[in-house]
Amino acid sequence: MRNTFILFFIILSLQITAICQTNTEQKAGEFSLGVRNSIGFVYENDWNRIAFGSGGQFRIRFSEKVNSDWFIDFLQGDLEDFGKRTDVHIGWSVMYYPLNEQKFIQPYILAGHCFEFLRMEENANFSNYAERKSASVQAGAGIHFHISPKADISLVGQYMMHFGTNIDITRTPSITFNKPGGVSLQDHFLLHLSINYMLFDLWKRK
Amino acid sequence: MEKKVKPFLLFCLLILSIDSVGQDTNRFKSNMLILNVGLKQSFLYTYANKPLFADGFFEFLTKENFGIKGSCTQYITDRTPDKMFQNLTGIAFGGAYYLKLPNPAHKLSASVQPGISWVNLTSIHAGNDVPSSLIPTMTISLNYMLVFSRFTNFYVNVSHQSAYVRGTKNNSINLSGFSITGGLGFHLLMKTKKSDK
Repeated sequence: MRNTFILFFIILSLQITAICQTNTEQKAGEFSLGVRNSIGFVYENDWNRIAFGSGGQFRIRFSEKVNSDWFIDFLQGDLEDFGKRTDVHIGWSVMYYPLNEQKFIQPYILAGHCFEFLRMEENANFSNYAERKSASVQAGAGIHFHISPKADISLVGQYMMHFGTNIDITRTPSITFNKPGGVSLQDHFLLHLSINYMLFDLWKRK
Repeated sequence: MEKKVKPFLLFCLLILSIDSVGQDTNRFKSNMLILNVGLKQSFLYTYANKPLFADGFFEFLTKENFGIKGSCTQYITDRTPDKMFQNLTGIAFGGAYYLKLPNPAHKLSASVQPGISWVNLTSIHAGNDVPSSLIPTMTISLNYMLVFSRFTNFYVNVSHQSAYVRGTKNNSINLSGFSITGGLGFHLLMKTKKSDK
């Protein structure tokens, strides 16, 4: 199942690269700045851990149909009733607009890569914790709502797969966090609501 | 009865006078900077607490109907004896979209603002060993401004905020709630376009 996702991601990346070659460059160089809120569903034996977060991003547009998104997210969630997890994501995505015209609603697909910092700690006992750093790939789809020629509200859903050491939790007799080492996979599904504003043209064409 | 009618009549006269004066001078334009300060009364959804905050925001209108918005909030006190906060300081950034109204003296905008807050809960809610927490927040608000002169306005804001403090002895503390804010604002045109003259 996971190999299928990796294969899908590679094919998607190749397709975006191929499509980029033939695009017009009317909007190339647009630099946008935005902020966003996120809801994350984290898979650990079950999709039972929901996180909520804030973050921001900037976008650099490569062409009429291809954009890029550079983001940082700060999410926090419960570990059932015994602890909390804090995730920080720093990464980038390439966005592709399949429709030719930019209307009020503009759908897009995206794929990219990010780094994650994860910290798990016990409730009310913050000296009991474990941390890990990992890398991940993500892919998803979203919609821009162009509320003005330069501003948009965007809604995006994306699947994110982390490659890194797992943090195992033992609850009896007391709560312990262990890092067994090696590489394991962890899945996230993220929903983002963002508001963005195009600030200037990096290429400064006349 | 008369006591209630008189203030109402005065209010109506005030609105009518603003309506007649406001046609030219109160138009918001692009490149306008708005600075508002006020008091925010919050009501939490899952607790009885009613915290009071000092609140302020700035907006820079990039177009007549869209502004980049930044806000800050500082906890003052709570109306309930079992206080929720020792301290809360928050900032948020986002955008505001202005709805078109026939009279330029009345401004109505909707905004979305992701943000972060630095929170210290009291031991009643978080346990004896209470550390500070940095938490993500989201604010959705509806803002009404009464532009009564060329540079000043009154405003009323109704907002919903989502926020959670994780990892306390009682697990998560849900700080989500709604707020009503009111105050005074100043607006100043930073740069005039030829077309605006």
